[in-house]
Amino acid sequence: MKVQDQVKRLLDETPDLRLVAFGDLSSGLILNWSAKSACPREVLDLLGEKAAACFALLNSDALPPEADPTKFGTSVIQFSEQGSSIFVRQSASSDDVICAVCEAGAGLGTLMHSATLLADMIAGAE
Amino acid sequence: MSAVEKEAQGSGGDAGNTRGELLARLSTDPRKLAIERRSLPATVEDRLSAILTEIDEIVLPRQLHLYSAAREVARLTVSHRRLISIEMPGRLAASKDSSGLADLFAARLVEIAEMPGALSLTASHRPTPPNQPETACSVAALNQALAFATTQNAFDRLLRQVAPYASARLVWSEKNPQGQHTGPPEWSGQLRNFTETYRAMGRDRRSATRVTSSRTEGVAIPLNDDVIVMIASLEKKGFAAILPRSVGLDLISAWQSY
Repeated sequence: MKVQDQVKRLLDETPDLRLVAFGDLSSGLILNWSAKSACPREVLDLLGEKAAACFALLNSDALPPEADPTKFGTSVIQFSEQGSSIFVRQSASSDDVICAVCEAGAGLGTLMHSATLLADMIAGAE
Repeated sequence: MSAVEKEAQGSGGDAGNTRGELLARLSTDPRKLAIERRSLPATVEDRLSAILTEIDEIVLPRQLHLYSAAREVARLTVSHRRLISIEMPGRLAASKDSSGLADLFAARLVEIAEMPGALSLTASHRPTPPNQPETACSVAALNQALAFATTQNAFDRLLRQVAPYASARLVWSEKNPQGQHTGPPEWSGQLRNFTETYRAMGRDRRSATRVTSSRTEGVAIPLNDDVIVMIASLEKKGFAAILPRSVGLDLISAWQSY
């Protein structure tokens, strides 16, 4: 299945998601996306930048002792009162990222799990 | 249907039905009260409203038991449509002094309503009347106190919601930019590292996540399957906290649903 189709399927199957995107962290660009309403390019550009900025927070050179090296650096949630953006990648060194923008109040545990499965699926398909 | 209920419903319209439902509830056999466990709504405001409605309908002494999952998190003693006490595990009982009682009760009710995850409620008969009903609080007084307690800004609310669950915290402000650490000292260095990196993002004019934003924003970073670091800020104040992962994620949802 194409990346675009996988992204769209996650969006269609998950009521609390507004937008699902696949991007590249090294360039900060969104490459594929699917949204429940019209989405200007500026919003996508900001999402790509936000994903790169969030992962830049995680300095793998100074790994906290409690961190699981297989998990730390693979996901970050950015949130405000208006909603959350979940960023997930298959490994801490990967530049491929899944961005899932959710409604305020959405259950983040389940959505993170779904986004992780999609990141794994896309990484496995490459 | 009881005769009382029939008579009340016979008075006609919605008001009649409401009065009938109330009378039916008041005449419920006390031994049956605890059997029914009701789920409370998801949002804090609706939860508070449901609890106050419950208090307002109780005349004979009752205890309201509030549960988060299967754990009892609070026990409210109510009589004559007044809240007499709130018992919470690990908390001291309220002072017998009635001054400031409404504020204290309001703060505890908000704390209960802000608990992450589903909340449910049961009522049970209280065999002996409470000793000091003169220190009880009416629903009107609680409403007034709650109006103040729930108008805090979003950042203060998030910090307050996080506090009971954080195993360590670093809280900074304009007056104390270095921040105040609470919790085990071994977390201090890690929280400072995360905080410095997070705040540095705000100094980057091109940054997509501006830490000096005029709205409360934050990030949650999973350290492993069980623990997350949450960092949030509003303008020049903020905090970083170590939280159980599932609780931290539920707290974000609960805070957004306020």
